[in-house]
Amino acid sequence: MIRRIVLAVCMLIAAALLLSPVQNVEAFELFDGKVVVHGKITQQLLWRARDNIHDEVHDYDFFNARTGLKLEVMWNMWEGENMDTLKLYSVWKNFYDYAHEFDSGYKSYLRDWGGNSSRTIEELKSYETFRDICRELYLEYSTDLYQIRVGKQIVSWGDLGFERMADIVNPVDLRGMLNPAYPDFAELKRGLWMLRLYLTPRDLPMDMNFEFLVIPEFVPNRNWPAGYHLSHPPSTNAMTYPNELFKPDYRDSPKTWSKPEFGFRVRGYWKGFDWTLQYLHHRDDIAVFRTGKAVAGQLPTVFGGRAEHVKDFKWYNSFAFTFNRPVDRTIPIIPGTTLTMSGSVLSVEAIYDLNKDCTQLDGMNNTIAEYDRFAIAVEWKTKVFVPGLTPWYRNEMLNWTSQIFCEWVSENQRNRFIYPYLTYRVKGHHWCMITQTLYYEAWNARLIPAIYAAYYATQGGGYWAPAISFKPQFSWTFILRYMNYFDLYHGINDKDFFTFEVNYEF
Amino acid sequence: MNSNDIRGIHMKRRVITVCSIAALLLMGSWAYAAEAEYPIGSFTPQELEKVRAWEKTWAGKKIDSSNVDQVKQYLPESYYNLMKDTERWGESWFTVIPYAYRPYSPGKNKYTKENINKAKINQKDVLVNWVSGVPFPETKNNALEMAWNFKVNTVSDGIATDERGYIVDGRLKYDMNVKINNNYMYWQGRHDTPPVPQVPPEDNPKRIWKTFQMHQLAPPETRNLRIMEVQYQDWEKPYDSWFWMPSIRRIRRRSTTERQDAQGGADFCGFDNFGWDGPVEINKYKFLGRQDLLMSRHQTIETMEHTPGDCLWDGITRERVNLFVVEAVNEDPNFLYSKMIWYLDPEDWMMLYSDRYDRQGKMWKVMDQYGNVAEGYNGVPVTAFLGNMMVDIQRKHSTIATAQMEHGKQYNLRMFTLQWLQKHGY
Repeated sequence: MIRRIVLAVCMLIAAALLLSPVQNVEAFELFDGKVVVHGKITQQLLWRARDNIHDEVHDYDFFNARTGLKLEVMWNMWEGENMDTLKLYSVWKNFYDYAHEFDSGYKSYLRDWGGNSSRTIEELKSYETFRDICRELYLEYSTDLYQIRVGKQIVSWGDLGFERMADIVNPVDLRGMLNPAYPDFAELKRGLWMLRLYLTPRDLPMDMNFEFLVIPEFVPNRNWPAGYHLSHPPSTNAMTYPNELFKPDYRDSPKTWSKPEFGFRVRGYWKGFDWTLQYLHHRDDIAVFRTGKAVAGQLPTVFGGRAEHVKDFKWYNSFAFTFNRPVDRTIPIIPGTTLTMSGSVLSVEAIYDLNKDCTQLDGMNNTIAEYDRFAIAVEWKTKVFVPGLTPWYRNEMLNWTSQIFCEWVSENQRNRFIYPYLTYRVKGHHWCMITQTLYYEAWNARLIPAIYAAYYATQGGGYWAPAISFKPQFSWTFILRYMNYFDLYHGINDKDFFTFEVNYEF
Repeated sequence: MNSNDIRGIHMKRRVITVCSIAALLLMGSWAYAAEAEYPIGSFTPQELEKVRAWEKTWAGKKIDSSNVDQVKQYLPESYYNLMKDTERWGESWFTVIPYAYRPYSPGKNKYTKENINKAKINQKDVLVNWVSGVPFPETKNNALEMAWNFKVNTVSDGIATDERGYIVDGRLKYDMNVKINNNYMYWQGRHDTPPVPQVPPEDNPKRIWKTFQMHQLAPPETRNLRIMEVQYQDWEKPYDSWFWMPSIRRIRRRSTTERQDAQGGADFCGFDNFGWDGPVEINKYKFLGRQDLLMSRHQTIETMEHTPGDCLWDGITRERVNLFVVEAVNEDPNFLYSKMIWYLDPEDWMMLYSDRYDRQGKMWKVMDQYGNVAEGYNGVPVTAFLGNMMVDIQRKHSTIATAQMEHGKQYNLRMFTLQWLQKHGY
């Protein structure tokens, strides 16, 4: 144990030292600044805070030791009159995760759940395909009236940081998520080949502008493989090949571009409100079992083999509405004191999913059931004047973001598997979560203590995650985080962990 | 010589006399017109004579901690302390140069004269009936009028800047570098850059007064961050502000209070732009008098020197100017400054220097701005500044910057829209 810790810490220090001569390197500019290369080197170490739990068959301490490189390349190909431009933009990312190389317990663990093979390790140690490495690659032509983007893209709809509500265009790859306390969706989303058109006509009421998407490619969500620290409930111990739980999704995802997804978004500004209205006709990024295929789809987890043609990604329609508005008044938290909120921004997102599908088990058989889903999230982002602290610390206020997320489905039964959230509630029709973020920028934003917390109000339990980040120089960020789960499911409560992260950006 | 000749001579004399009188009158009227030209100079002729005599001794001299005592009376106390306390702030120096007048552009002069006595301040301390030019060019002791003269200075109507800054940790002796491109456009109160004196109402249905766009190029963490801010002709209407954040790839709304936050670890916040970029009416003003001080008004970037880890600029050129000194007090217990002392240039109403106090009444920051005379639209002279320094004296920290500015820039009005912000994200 001690040896592993010493080794891990030494590797982090070595990485930091290797990078340190590159003090304050800025983005690379080539060809008279027409090509700009900007990047990030990341070193992350995830170290479990509690020793193994009784139902784990292997002991391990580290489950990520990852060196990552991300490059963002912008080529300003042409600039015409009236701000017309032609650009090529791309983002490339890969990593090498060597936790299995210096923690033999973790290696055995992953091999076991990969069916005594290195397949799980292969999935976790790096991206292997062009699809994963090239996160974005698109050509953009802009004029005063419109902008067109063709290529592989990540689209960010919605406003909220904590909960992914209206931001439904791209699927996610959980292998990129090393901070479940506050997921960075920009790092998680998988780019899709698409055509994106903005129309920005002049002088429309409410400054409206329009965005249209046509997405011929479909890529499903990508899970952590079975055996990964956060995706291995004890029930999978009974399986010989638990990773086969996920594999059929990837095998059965549509590969042709014959039936594209499409959608649009209207954005406007009215009386201080920023609002958007969006529609997307799309496939669910999470598969359901085809009728009668649930058993066939799960047998390989026990007996081996390969399940295929058992899953389907169903179509449905999503309508979403968002708005935000600053509240320019000081609101007392305790009347008569200076403990107040000011500079608040209220954001609301609501989504209605029409004719969504889920798997319904009927004894040994299964069918596909249909339901509608409505979800809403309300966010209050503010700055808190803390008596004593704020005046003492040169008027630095506490940054505060509260959010409540609620979800309802039209009907639910014990035998339905509705994901996300309601999967875990037998017969529940609703689900609710409250999240809270606090951070404080000390020492000219070089030291930032923060806490992220979530409480699953419907079922109880959740997590809290304190963090501290230190920026001795621009480009460099050192982060220490702790993730503490409480009152959740058996098998997850004891999976608390520390994260130590070093980022260098240029 | 006959009588006709004599008459002719008399006639000639009369003509000469009439012409001479006419010429004198014309000269007088020209002289009167010259006196009425704005801005009114910093010194009266008698005062200027004394200044020139003083300059014979001091112009061209380098001032550092060894001889700063000899010019102490011409420096704000806070600046003298920064120079004198070399143990804390290191050695810094500046050079004395002769005083020179800072002219108005032709348009600024025209609109100032045309609109004199038209602008008023209402009971809410808000400026009304103002179109363009300096609203109160001859104010002498009304601090609120001075504050509005400062606020509505639209410089060169449109300004594009390329800024380089250093965030300096004076304790640990190192810099953090910042690169920013800014674009400012004034929609009302324009002087020389068409359209004047304002963008036609049909092109400005929201009645915008000023728009601002920032594009951050360094540090890498915030590369491509863009901020857009809109201020309205209705002075009491809250500013609108959005930013496009590359890390989340979204446009997010920015609240007015966020303008109090120091930007990216720097010592400037949104309210500090140009000296003060907040509503005038949120402060109470008091005129403290005039003070003859050494300030930077004809600066060039070439003479400015920075040593990494050193909080103060060196190589600043300073000239004597008889400043208006105004105290601005903010009674909101949550506002970052309890009090500011503004040192306003009497010629162009720019803020050349300021002391800022925290909520506990302790001196917190010192701001020093370096003026210049640049070329605006069609080469007209415009007064602006090309560098500044904000020193956090409590923390031994500073942010110092220079700006290459393109003045009189004509912008596509669509640049200051959310659509533009969205299209320039990715």
